[in-house]
Amino acid sequence: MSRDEKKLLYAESHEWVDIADVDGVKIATIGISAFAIEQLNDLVYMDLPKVGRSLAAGEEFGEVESVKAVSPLYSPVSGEITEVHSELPSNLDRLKDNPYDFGWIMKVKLSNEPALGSLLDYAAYTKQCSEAG
Amino acid sequence: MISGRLIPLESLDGSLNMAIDQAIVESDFAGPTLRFYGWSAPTLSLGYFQKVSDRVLHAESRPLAIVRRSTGGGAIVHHHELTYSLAIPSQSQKDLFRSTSNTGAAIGVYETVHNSIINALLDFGMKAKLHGDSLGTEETASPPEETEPFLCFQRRSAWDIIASGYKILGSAQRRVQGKILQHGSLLIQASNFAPQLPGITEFGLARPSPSELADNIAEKLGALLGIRWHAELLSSDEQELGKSIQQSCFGNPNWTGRR
Repeated sequence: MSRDEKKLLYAESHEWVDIADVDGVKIATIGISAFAIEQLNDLVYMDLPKVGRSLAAGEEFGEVESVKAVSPLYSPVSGEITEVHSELPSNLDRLKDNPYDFGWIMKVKLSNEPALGSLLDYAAYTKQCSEAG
Repeated sequence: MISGRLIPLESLDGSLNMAIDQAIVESDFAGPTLRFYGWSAPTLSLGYFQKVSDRVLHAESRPLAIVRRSTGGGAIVHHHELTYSLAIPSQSQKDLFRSTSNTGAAIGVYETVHNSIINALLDFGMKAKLHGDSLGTEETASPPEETEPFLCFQRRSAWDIIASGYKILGSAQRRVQGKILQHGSLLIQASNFAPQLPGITEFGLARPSPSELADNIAEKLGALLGIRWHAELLSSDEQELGKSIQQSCFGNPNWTGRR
């Protein structure tokens, strides 16, 4: 089933978050928004974090290189990384067409659910993007 | 007109050069900081994601020490060249590139810095242009190929500066907490460690001194963007941070060799 971008949460730094309840545990799946992928233009490299690493919201977890810039990726949530999408770095050309399904980067077991309140909903995020663009 | 810092030209060890650029962009600074520098010994810098093992692809530079940059792109032999870095905080990006988005500001930095360098070279009697401007109407700048050449100066992007078909200046950026760090190299003369890459003196230009070039480029960039430069040394905090970053990253063999 495809993810609906209108039902996701977003960080100001352009990462999307999909929260799911898996056997009573809140798991966040995280990727980069279509807007950011379009703006970054022609991604060529991506560094993935290690499974098991603990992240604080706002902490840098990886890096991407586009045609002309290396940019950090910031975790929108706090928690422990339970899975990373190891096929993604060698298939970055597929990101543009499928940012919300194939484009997932990592899954994080949430440690601080109330902090999600600082994330943007789709309407607020698209407003931010239109103001930037 | 906004105020910017101009850090005086000096030649340093490669790992310290990279660490100082990083320290500047990580520091809290109010306006743009422009820095020119040389390299105290010929050095091969690798793009952030390049593998150390790939240096076997370029035999002539194998005797050189290496440093890994924080920015992407291909490897550069830093020998007879002038290197610059420009760090721009978020607010200055908005002030200088009002009509563009954050990413537009990133492109704007490439275009304005490179156009300033083209204007400066013209003062020295050399005609050069952006690669994107040298393409015919039927052509467009092509996306990166599957396997890019090892050397930066054998790659092409729309913003590179080209003279007589050769790339003479290439730049790369890193985003740091909304700030932009851009640095780049202007080839002054071919190096015996990269003889296939001519510099501006190979095209008949009398060799300008690096300081003359730096002063001229700063003047052109200031005029283009509306920045009044004032010469300033690095702050003691930046120097300390630079040394710390040199130890942990750019001067650390484990960090350099991690790919």
